[in-house]
Amino acid sequence: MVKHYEKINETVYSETMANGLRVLLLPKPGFKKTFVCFSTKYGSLVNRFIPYGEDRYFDVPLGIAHFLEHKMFDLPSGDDATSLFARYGLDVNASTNYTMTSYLFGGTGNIDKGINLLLDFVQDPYFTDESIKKERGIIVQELKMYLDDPTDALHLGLMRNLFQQYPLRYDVGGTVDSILEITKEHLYKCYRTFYHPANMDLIIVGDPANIVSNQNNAVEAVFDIVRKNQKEKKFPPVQDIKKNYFVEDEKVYRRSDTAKMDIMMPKVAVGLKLPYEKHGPNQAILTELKLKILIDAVLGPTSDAFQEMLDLELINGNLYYEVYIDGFCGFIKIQANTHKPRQFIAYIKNKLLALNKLTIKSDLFNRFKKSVLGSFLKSLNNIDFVGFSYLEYLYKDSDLFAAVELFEKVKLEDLKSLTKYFTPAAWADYTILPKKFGANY
Amino acid sequence: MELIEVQSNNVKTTFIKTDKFKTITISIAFIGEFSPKNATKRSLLTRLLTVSTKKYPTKKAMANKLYDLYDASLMVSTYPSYKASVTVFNYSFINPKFIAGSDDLIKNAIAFLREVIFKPNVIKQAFSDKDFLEQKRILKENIKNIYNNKSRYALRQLLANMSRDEIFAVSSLGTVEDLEPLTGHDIYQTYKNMLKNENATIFVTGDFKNQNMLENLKILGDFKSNPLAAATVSEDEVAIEKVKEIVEKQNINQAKLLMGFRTAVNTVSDMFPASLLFNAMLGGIFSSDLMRVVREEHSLAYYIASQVISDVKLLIVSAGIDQNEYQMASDLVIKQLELYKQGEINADLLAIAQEHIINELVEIEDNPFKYTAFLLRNYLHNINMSITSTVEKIKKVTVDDIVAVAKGINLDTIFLLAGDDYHG
Repeated sequence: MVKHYEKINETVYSETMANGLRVLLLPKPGFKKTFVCFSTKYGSLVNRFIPYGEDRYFDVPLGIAHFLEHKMFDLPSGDDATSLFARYGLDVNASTNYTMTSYLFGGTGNIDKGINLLLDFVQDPYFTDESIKKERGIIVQELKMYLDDPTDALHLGLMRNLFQQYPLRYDVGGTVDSILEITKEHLYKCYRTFYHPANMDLIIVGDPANIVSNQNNAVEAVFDIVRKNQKEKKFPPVQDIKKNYFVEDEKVYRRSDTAKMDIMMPKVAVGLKLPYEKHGPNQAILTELKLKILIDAVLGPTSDAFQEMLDLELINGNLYYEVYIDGFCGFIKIQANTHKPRQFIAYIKNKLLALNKLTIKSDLFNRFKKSVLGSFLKSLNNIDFVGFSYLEYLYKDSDLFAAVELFEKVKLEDLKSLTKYFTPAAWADYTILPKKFGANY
Repeated sequence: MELIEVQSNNVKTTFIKTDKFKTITISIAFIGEFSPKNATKRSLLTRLLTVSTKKYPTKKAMANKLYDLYDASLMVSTYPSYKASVTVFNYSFINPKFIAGSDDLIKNAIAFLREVIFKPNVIKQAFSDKDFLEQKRILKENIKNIYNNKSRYALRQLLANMSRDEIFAVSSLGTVEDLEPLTGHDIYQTYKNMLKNENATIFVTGDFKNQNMLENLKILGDFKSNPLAAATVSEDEVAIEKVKEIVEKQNINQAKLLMGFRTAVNTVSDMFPASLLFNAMLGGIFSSDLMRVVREEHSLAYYIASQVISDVKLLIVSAGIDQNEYQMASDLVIKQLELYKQGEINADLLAIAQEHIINELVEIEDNPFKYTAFLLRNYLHNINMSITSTVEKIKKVTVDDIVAVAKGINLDTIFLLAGDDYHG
C-alpha cells in the first residue's frame, strides 16, 4: 500500500507479511542516514494479560517489559547483539516506554545487514537464570541513576500523585523490589505473547538508494530483504491478545506531596489527569495538539501570565509543559524550578482550572496553529524522530502525517470540547525541595 | 549537497544547497577572544540578545513574532575553542515552498534576524534594566543549578581541579562572582566589541535561489571581517608531577568518577583522526574496552565513557559507579590505558571504531546545524577538511597510530563525587 501526503511531501509504503508483521518504509531522498526501528505494541502499562496459549489473566512484576528489552540482547552464542551491529558500524539501541518496546539502529552503510540482524536477534529469545541474575545488578544501577536525577524523580512523584492504580503511576523500569521477582518463565510468557510478528512493526526511514544496489526499484528491493528474512522463520498461529487496563476516573490519588533531594533550587510539577477514555482514530494525537494550544495560550511565552510569573519570580526563565495521551489515559504536566513553590502551584492551578471557560481570541488561535504547523514541519528533518513517532502514534490509532492535515482544519470552536478536562478533581502537584535549605520553604 | 562560497554582507558566506530539508537555516558566527575576564559577560550577552529587541521589546512580542514566522527558532550560543570564543546565531525557519501563501517568509524572517543582531533593546548605551536584571538573576540561578546535574557538576569540578590557571578551568557559562558587579552598560560594551572587533562569517542551508538569497541577505547589512586574533587550539605541553586525587561528598545514590588525562594531540595535529579512533576504542562507543571491562566483565558501572576535548588537549573518562568500587574502577581504567601503550590493541575493535566514526561523519550532512558547525571548525582553525577527506584519513589509521596516541596520554587528576557515607 502507498500513501502520499501531498502537503508535506512525504510518502509511506506499507505491507503486512504472511506471518502478520507490518513493514513500513518512509523514503527520505538525499539523507545519508537510515533509521530502522522494530517495535512491539507492548510497554510498561501492560501488567495484566492472558499469556499466549493460556486462558486466564496473569499478573507480571512491574518493569518486566524493560527487563525483557535488556535481556533480548543476549544471544545463544554468548555474544551481545550490540557487538554484531558494531562490526558493521551500526549503533543498535533499544527503548521501552509506556506503550511500546523498540529495537532500533541507524547508520549510513550495511543497512541490509542491519535489518537482518535486527529481525534475527529480536526473533530469537534466549534467557537463562544466570544472565537474569546478572542483569538485575545492571538495572538496579540504572534505576538508582534515575532516582538521583531530580527531573526523573519529579516526574515519578507527580505520576504517583495523579494516578490511583493506572500503571502510568509507575516507573517504566519498575522498582528495585519488583525486578527481583522477575523469572525466566515470566520473560518467556511475555515474549510469546507480545513478540509475535502480528503484534510488531518494522519501520525504515531513509533513502532506499542507500540501502540496496537495485536502483531501478529500490523500494521493492527493500521490502524483499524483509520478505526473505521472514519466509525462513516459523511462528505459531496468530492469537488475539487480551490485556486488562485499569479504567480510572479523574480523581487523583494524592493532591500534593514533597520530597527532599540534594539540589539548590526547588523543582515543582503541577499536573492534570486526563481520565480513561476511548479515543477514535487520530483523536489521541489531535487531542494532544489541541490541548497544547490551550496550555500554550494561557502559560506559554506569548501569554501575559508568562511575564507575570517572571516578574513575581515564580519561574526562572523556563517553564516546561507536556501533554501526553497513551491512547487511553494521559496527563498535562507543567514544571519549573522556583524559589516560591507554593505560590507557583497556586498560580498554575488557577490558570489551569480557569480553562474550563474558553477565552482565546481567533487571531491568537490562528497564530498558535501556524506555530504548531511550523514546529511539526521542522521535526520532519529528523529521521529518527519521524520513524519513532510514526510508530508511537500508530499504536495510539493515530496517523502522524494525516493528523497534521486534519489539524489544519481545526477551528477555535473545536477547542470547547476540551474544557471538560479542567476540573478541580483532576489536579495534583509534587515538589522536590533542597535538603540544605528546607526550612526556607 | 553543493557548497558555494560567496562574499556577502562584507564577509565570507557559504551556501549549502540541498532540497532534503523542510527548512532554511542561517548561522552567523562571531569569533573573538575567550578569557576569564569576559566569559561571564558573553554568557549574559547571549541571553539578552534573544529576549527582546528595540522593535520587539518584550518576550511576548518576540515569541509572537517567532510564532508568526511558523515557529521559526533562534538560538544564540557561545563556546570557547582554547583562547578563542565563538558566538553563533543559529536560526531556522520553514521553507516557504511547504506553506501556501507564504512567499514573503524568507524576507520577513531575515528582517527579524536583523532586529535581533543589530537592534537590541538598548537605552542610553545600556541594555534595558528590566531585561538586564531579569536575565542576570536567571543566569545566576543557572550557574548555581549546575550543582543539580551531578555529571556536569563533577566534570566542572574535575577541570577546575586540574588547573586553576589554564583556560579550560574557565566555565563558559560564567561565575556568580563575576556576574554580581556587571551592569547593563558593561554588557552593551561587550556587544559593541563583538560587532566591531570580532570576525564574522555566514552559512545558509536549504533549497533556494542564490541570487534571491543574496538579495534577501542584504537586509542584514554589513558585518566585520577583522583578522582572527586568538589561538583556537592549544600547543601547550604541561608536565605532570604527581597525579591529584580529590574526593567530594554529597547526598547521592550513585558516585561519579571523573579522570582527567592530558594528551599530545590537538584538533589540527596530523594525529587528530587517530585520536578520535583511540577515544572511540577506549570509551567512546558502546563496544569500547572500558564498557567491556568495567561494565560488562566487572559489572562496576551503569555507564562509563571517554571524550576528547581536542582544542585543549584533554581526555576525560567519566563513570557512574558504586562508591565502594572506586579503587577498582579507577585501577581498571589506568590498566587499560597501559595496555594500549604497550601495543595491546584489538584490531577488530579498531575496525569497529573506524566504521563508527565514519558513520558519524557521514551523518553530519543530515543535520543543517551540525554540518554548519563542521564547516565552521574548518574556518576557525584555518584548515580545509571535507567530510570525504576526513573519512579517507580515518580509513588510513593503523594500530601503530593508536599506540602513538596512547603514549602521549598521561593521567593528571582523579575526581570522585561520593555519597555522604563514603569513607575512602
